[in-house]
Amino acid sequence: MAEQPPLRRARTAKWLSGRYDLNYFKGGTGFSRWRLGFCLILAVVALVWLGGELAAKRQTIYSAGSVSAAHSFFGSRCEVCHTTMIKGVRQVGGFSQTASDEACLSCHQAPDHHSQGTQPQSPSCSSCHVEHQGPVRLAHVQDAQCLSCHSDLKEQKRDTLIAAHVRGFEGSQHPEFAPVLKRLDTPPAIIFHHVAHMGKSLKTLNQDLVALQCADCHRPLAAAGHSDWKYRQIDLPSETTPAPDASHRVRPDSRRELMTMPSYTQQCAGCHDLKFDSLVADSLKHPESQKDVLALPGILQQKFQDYIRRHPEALRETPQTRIPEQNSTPAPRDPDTWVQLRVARAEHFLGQNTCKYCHQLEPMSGAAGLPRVKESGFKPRQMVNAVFSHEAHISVTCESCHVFSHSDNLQVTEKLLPGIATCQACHNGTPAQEGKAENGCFLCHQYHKWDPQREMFPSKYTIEQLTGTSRAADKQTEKPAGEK
Amino acid sequence: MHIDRSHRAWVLWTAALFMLALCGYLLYAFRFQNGPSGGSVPGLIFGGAGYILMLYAAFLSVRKKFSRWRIGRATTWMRGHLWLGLLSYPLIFFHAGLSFGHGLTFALMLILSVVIVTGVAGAALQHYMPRMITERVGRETIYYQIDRVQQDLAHEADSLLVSLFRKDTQYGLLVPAAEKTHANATTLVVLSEYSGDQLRKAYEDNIKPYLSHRGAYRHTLHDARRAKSFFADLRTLVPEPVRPVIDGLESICDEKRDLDRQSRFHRILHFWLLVHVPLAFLLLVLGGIHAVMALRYG
Amino acid sequence: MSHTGTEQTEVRLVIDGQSITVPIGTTIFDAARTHGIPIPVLCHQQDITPVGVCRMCVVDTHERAYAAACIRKVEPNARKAKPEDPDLVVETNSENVRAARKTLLELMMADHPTPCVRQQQKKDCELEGLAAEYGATTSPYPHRELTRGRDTTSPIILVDHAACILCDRCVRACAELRDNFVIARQGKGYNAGIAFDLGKPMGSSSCVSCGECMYSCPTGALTNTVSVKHEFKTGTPCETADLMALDVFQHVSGNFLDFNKGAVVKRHFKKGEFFFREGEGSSTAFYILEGLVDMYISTQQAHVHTEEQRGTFSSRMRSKLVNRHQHRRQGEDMGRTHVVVDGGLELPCDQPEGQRGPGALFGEMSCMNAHPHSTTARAATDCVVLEMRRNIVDMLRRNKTFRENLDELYLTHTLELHLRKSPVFSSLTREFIQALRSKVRLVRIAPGEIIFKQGDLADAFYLVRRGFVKVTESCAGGDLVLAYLPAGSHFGEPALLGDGKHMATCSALDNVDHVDLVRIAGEDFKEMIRLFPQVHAELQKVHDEHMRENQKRMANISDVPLAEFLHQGLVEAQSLLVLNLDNCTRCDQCVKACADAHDGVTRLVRDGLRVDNFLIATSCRHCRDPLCMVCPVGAIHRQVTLDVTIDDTCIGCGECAQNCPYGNINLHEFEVTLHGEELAALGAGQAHAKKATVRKATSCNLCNELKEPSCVYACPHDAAHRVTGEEFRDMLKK
Repeated sequence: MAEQPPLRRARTAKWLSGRYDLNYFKGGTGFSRWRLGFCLILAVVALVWLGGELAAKRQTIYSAGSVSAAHSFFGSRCEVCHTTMIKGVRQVGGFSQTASDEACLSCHQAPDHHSQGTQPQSPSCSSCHVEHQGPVRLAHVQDAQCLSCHSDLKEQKRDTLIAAHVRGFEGSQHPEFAPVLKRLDTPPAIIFHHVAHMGKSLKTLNQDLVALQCADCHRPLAAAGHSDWKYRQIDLPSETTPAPDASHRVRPDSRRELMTMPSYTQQCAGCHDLKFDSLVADSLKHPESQKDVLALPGILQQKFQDYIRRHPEALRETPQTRIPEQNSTPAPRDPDTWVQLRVARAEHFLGQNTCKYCHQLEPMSGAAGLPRVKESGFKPRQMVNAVFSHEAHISVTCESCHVFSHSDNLQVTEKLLPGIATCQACHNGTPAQEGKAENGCFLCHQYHKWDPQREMFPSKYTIEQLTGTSRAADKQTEKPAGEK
Repeated sequence: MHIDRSHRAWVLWTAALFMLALCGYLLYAFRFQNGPSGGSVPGLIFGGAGYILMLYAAFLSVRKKFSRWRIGRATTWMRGHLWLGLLSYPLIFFHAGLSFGHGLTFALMLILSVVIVTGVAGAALQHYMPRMITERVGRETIYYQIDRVQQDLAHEADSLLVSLFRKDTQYGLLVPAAEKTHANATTLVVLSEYSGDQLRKAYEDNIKPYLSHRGAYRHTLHDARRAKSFFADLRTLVPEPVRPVIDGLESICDEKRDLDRQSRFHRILHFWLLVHVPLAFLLLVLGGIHAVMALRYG
Repeated sequence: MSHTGTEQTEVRLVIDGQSITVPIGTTIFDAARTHGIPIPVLCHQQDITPVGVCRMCVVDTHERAYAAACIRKVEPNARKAKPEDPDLVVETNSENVRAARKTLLELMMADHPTPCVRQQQKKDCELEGLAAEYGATTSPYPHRELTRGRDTTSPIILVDHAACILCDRCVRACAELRDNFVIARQGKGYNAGIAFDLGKPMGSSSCVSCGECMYSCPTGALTNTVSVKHEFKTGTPCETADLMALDVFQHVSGNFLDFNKGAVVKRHFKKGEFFFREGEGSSTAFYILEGLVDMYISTQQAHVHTEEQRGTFSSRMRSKLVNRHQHRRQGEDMGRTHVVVDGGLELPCDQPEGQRGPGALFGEMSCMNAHPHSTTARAATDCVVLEMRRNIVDMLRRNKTFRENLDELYLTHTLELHLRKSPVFSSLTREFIQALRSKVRLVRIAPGEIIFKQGDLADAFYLVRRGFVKVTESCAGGDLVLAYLPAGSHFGEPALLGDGKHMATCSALDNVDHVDLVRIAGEDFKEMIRLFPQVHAELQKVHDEHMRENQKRMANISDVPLAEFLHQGLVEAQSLLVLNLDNCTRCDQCVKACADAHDGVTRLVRDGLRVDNFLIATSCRHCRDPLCMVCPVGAIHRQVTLDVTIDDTCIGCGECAQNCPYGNINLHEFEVTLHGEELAALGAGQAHAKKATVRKATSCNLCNELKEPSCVYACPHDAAHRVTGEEFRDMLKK
């Protein structure tokens, strides 16, 4: 029973193949219809979605990523940046709508790169400031972008201050700072010895004994204007330094990053009185320019005339002079001659003693025979191509960086501007690494040559235009205008 | 498609291409100023290559549609579809800088992922299922003709019992004769009222509904073991000469069970295509839109 | 047939004064026919068993009653007075005999609807022809009132029962020639007539419309209503009447010629034009009406190199152990070792030209064997020829006289070439071959008939002249085919060289056609190898090679479930479509591809029996021994590569589909546009054109215009394969 197939249940190839409708595969199967249906449904859904976005004038779905924090308030208005610019003119429509430099420049005043004139082609804004990367700071640019050019500057006419091969900041990748190199070559215009001033007890004009501290002479620019200096005046009471700014932000223009230029009036005057004559108690006002220097004879003459008017008896006294060639001259009997004599003596004294004490003087010049004082060359910002903030380094003692030799040999000129090695001691890595301070290019350098004196930039957009709320706002504002 | 040793060349080539792409990506991702981005030249190359591979993979369905075209054997195309299609996934990821993006690109990545996942699942199904069907469905037929074959079976079962008639307290049934005088020789068998009733009831209540209802997975007769005992019971109820008829009915039910099982297997083997193909189609459409818009806003 | 029993006494008879010697058992009719003495006949045809019912062939044998020549066999006369007397003296045309025939004709004509349909259309009603010859056109007997009616239900055959003379030719043709057994005699007395399947109308009977009955019918009882549309690229179709006027078509039924109108075309060739070149395949033969044709043979003996498109079967047949190159279908390097020579022409290699004149047929061997031409034919003068298709040649060959002429020509001219073309026999001298010529016998083997069995004592050596010989060996699971020997090859020698017993069974391959052999008796063969040791050595070499192959093969098959394999007939297949079910996802791509390749009609059904984990899909497997080749119009035929194809001449009779045991042939309805003539033939009146559906048989042609079958090419999952039976066997082994 089991082995013999019952009835006609035997299967032969002919019977098997004969039981079908030979056209069954035509006209599609249920399966293929479902498949086609799903294809169409999905396509329709997608098109409805895209169409809806199009109708709502939203294009953010095509966005490559969310825009930076600064741009986010008009992030949904693609056309603000993505415009077709042909020869600087904004075009409507057109296929390519890349974010052009013109679009950036309509809001941002970004001066050209330092060496714009020498560069073959200025890179576009977006090649460094890449948008749609999420809420990042667009201004923050990677080192690699700088190095892509600066590792090998080929341009011949380049600025000599710009190194041709900078490959980073570590070791010899970055050359020594130009001001440091320059200092090594040239003698300083002001003769000042920190060793002589610091670490000792000095007497002020008031006969007080003091020990000078760095901050007695060096303070941030911001502190320079409104607080008095300890050694400005003899009779000033000792004063505490003002409390630091509440904001610790390191900004180029917070005026706390740079130190003041030490000046005679504020720093030196406390001890170094500008006496010009033993009879006159007055001190001279420190001339601040060559013009002031040229005005000195007049000032001296004035001062002596005042003196002789009040003290006619001085004419009778024999002048004690150390000027040998004038020893033989008879004592003046009339005030004018006396004044003349005194002025000449004072000028000589200043030229040979008082000024020369600190300044390098060039040979006598001019009718007055006064010396020409060499410019100090003091600038709050020594590194012209880089920024440095003392504020940021406030936790470090001054001496850590500004090392001066403790030799008593006052003939050795001092060079307290720290070299690159000093920086590299800390700035030797990315901020992510423990034990290392950041050393990216943009920590010190800037790409754009920002001019603090730049003119006011003509604005272009209304808030409505940027945020896209213009219509409602426009209507509301227009209506009353129309009614009028 | 059975993935066997003959795929080795494809696997090796795909792996080699993947490694090449990976090296390229690593070089570019770490060397490039702004990190990996779809809009950079390497990014566009990855995106373009990925899209071309997707297009190639999708072209398989066109190639299937026009089987007359002599543009390479379908087997070769299928292998290309499998391996190069798979390769498109990492390439697109490299294009996207290993992120999912947002908006349209997020949708695209999502769809691509689903397409790849269903594709891999489908390949796995196609690797294992055919053998399973071969083993477990002995009397297979053409899936799209199952309705027709099932109808034939129902008719056949009907014809076995069509001659069952009642007279007074007895039933009569024509069964194939034991001695074949000619092809359609039959003998009349007399059944008692009880066994006739039982036979009719079993047929009307169980066998007939089972045979006429496609995919009756819950039915008693769908369970091979229970069906066997069902027919064994039925056999004890009828006289000896009727047993070949019961055998016939059992054989028909066995075949019907095979058909149901085949339907189920067939659907499992092919359902993923309902997801894979429409999404792949959508992927290509949206991918094209993405390419156009991305280049436009470059 | 009776090729055994070489010793038979002959008998001598005198027919109309002419002395003739024939073998015992020859009928008077055949004896007269071979000597050109005409005996009129109605109920007898040369290919069917004579029954002697019409009595037209009555002859006077000087016995008690006149004898019907077609059934009267000549026996030795034991009572003859002297030994030198003839065994039988026959008068075929005496006054009395003629009077008897006239009376018979008058009786038949009394019932005959003169002129019958046949006479009206083709003017070759045999009855009316004879009646005219015997002056019996007007019958003195009263015409029968009762008419037996017409049967118009068949789409291609019109049955006019009134014209039937109950000769039974159609009955025998249906049964003997076609094995259909549809027609029989029915009724008694005046109502006697032919009937289809117990008296059904012809159209609804099991008749397959093969047409054999109407080709056999001597009168207008069975005539064709339509003509098959044969398509020739060139040439003008011939009118049936023109053809019937030609000698060569004398014995061919006008019904046949009319039904196959267009299968013969008249073509004109300019001097120097080629009919065909050596190595080309074609399915037509040429009959010269005017002009001369030069035959060339360029290939030197035993140095046959084929060019592309030359198809021989040797590679398929012999390189069973070597995988066929899968991706190449055309231009296969056939590595031919045998050359078939068109019969009837002497083409010695040292004089490579022969010439044929008007009335000659050439190219027919190639046409019938589906073999490349072995000669080149070129017009020597401007020629007018008839080009004819294979089924016409087949019909011509039914005539015994025609066949005997071919045989004679073969023996005198071609045998030598046949032998010398084979590398094995190249060292035979011309003298020896001429001596051999009288000793050999030409034998004709019926389809499927066994020539000798494994283990039989060997008594002869055979050359295959035409057709295929199947070599099988019995083994545990059934018969295993060892080889198919094509025309030009030889067999039977291993036994003669060895222990005298045949090691394999040899039979005529086909169910389709006869196989013609040249039989060389054992003694003659032994004489030959004694005289020519080189031939011996060559034969021995070939024999050893075969033995090695066989051993390898037997070692191979031991792992395969052979019984199932043989049961499904897979070993016969030349191109099985097997689907590896471990790979197949049942996606139906193969079916769609098949339909795409064939105008939307699939020739493949993805179901069938399984062998192991393979599905033998239902698609033509191109059997080496096809059962389907029973086409009435020759539409289904084999190509050079042995692939079975059905061409557009198919009339949709479905006989091939019915015969195919695997269901691989399907009938499909096709939309066609019929034009004026065809419509008129269908009796549809004067409409210009009309859409109609036509049924045609379709079967896989392996996409023969393409390199690889579409089903395999389109399978995405590497599941579908086209393999020969042997290759499949090897696949199963893995």
